[in-house]
Amino acid sequence: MSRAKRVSAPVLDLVWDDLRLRFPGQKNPVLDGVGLRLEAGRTLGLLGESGSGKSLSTLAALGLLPRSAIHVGGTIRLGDTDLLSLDARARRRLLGATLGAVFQDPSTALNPYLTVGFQMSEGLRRIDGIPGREAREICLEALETCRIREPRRALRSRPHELSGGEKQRVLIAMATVRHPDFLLADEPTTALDVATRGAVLEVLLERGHDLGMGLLLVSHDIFLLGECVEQMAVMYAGRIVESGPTRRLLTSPRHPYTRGLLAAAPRLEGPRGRLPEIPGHPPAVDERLPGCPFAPRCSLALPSCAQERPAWVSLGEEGGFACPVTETEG
Amino acid sequence: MSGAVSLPIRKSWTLRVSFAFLLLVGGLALATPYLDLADPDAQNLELGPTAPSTEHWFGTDPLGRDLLSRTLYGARISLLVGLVGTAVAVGIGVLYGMLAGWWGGRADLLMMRVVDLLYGLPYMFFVIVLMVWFGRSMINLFIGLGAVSWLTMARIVRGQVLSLRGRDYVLAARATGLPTRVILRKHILPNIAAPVLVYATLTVPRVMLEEAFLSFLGLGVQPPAASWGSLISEGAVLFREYPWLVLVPGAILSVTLLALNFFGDGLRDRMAAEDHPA
Repeated sequence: MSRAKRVSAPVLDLVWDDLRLRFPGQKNPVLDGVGLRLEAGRTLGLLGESGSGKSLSTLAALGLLPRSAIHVGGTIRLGDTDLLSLDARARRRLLGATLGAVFQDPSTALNPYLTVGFQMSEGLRRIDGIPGREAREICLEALETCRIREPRRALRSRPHELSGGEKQRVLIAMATVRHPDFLLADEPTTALDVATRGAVLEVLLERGHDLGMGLLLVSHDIFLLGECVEQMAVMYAGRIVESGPTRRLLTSPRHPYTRGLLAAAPRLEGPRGRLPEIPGHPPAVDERLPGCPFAPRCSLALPSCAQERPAWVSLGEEGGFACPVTETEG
Repeated sequence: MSGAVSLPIRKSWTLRVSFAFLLLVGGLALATPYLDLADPDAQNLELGPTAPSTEHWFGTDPLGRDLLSRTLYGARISLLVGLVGTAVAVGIGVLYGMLAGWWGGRADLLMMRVVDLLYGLPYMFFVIVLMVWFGRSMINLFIGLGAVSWLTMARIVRGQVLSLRGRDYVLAARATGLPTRVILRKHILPNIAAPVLVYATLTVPRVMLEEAFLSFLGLGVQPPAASWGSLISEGAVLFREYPWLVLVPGAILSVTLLALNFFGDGLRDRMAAEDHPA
């Protein structure tokens, strides 16, 4: 059985526009102008090191930021709706129904005291008012499409009875059980065994495709993203430094940071040798320079880089980047 | 992975013995009306105070009332006050603590300062004023004792909720779009049940002791009804002449409170052992 998808106006894009956030006690903003566009039904990869602000960008869209976060500027819009100015009730209406989320660590994302079936069907029962039996069927169907073997058993079990990969697939099923328009997945495979990562990722992409969801995949693995998303955005120290179609980013990256990431990633073919690493480490929030935060680690940096905030160079369909040095490369 | 290696959790005899004793006291209290006992209020002025005998196991008081019967009926009241008072304390404390912990920030700060403030007040004085003001009824006794016993519970719950609200599964529940009251009830509450239960068990003897104290002052249970506290109070005046009037209910109250405390402690140890099975 399948539920008729809501008859709705054409689905809008989810847009982060110059989002800036700050935490008390820090002089620099932790998110310093994040611009992203997650198109309906498409896939976008958000790439960055830990601490670059990937998760905060995701949590901001869900309204789940830490309480202390201060909104300095910018918006996250869904059509004309500014998600950041919604009241709690209006946001709850969006969550689960329009925006779904999958988090990093499946071992902590399920309530240990409740059965999978109970947690999964909560939204259907309480928010959509679907009777228990019917909600159960919908959950079973979702678990099946997420390739949970013995979905009936899974519904009855408690989280500790499932493996890590199973849990994450259950969480994917749970996040999509109400058929949201967008799914935000924050490093969904990072906490998993390498062997199960591929399978979980496949389930995620398939589920996203089947339901026509816009999928935001957050990761620190450039090749993982390279294999599965259409568009990619590279984040460094709270800013988007480069974005565009995945193919362009992998073949002709323009920002020195993107280039460094590509060069530093191990490959299967070609001669083995020491991988060229990016020297230094990403700056802490208050160590960030007023100009380009990557300047201290950049081999191409000019003296002016540390002082002047690099302008965004648009490449039209091919995305854009923020580096005045490589801009002149033509 | 080591498979299912279960280390033996130290078997606690205090937990078992105290539990057995509490079952006995509770059972007797429940069964009291059906036992073949003397009427606890029937006076026998000619008999007067007598020492424990085969006729009256615990003796009789100056009005010739059977002390065994009075002690058992008193148990009903003492235990009832302990349980209901604790229930009131748990109700207020859990609700207050959950909201403070969930809201966090300024609301939490304010709510916890209120708790600090109340901690500083001489709470028995507060209960005494309450009892005098609103009359010495059982209901007021429950409310009064509950109203001053919820502070620690609120602190415990608030701390737990504060740490739980950042857990991924709570975030996930919020990302599902569930309203706050559902998250608190279905996701937070089951997770704090264990410490709440343990602390509640330790609150029962405290409330019972406070009731005994109030009754001793004559502000608790009103005669001719009796609680352990009021029995001790009545007996204390005549301690030199008829010591059993104090010793019997006093010993029973002490042992029961001891058992409750042991039970709560044992329960806490048991749960700590389950949390860290190593």
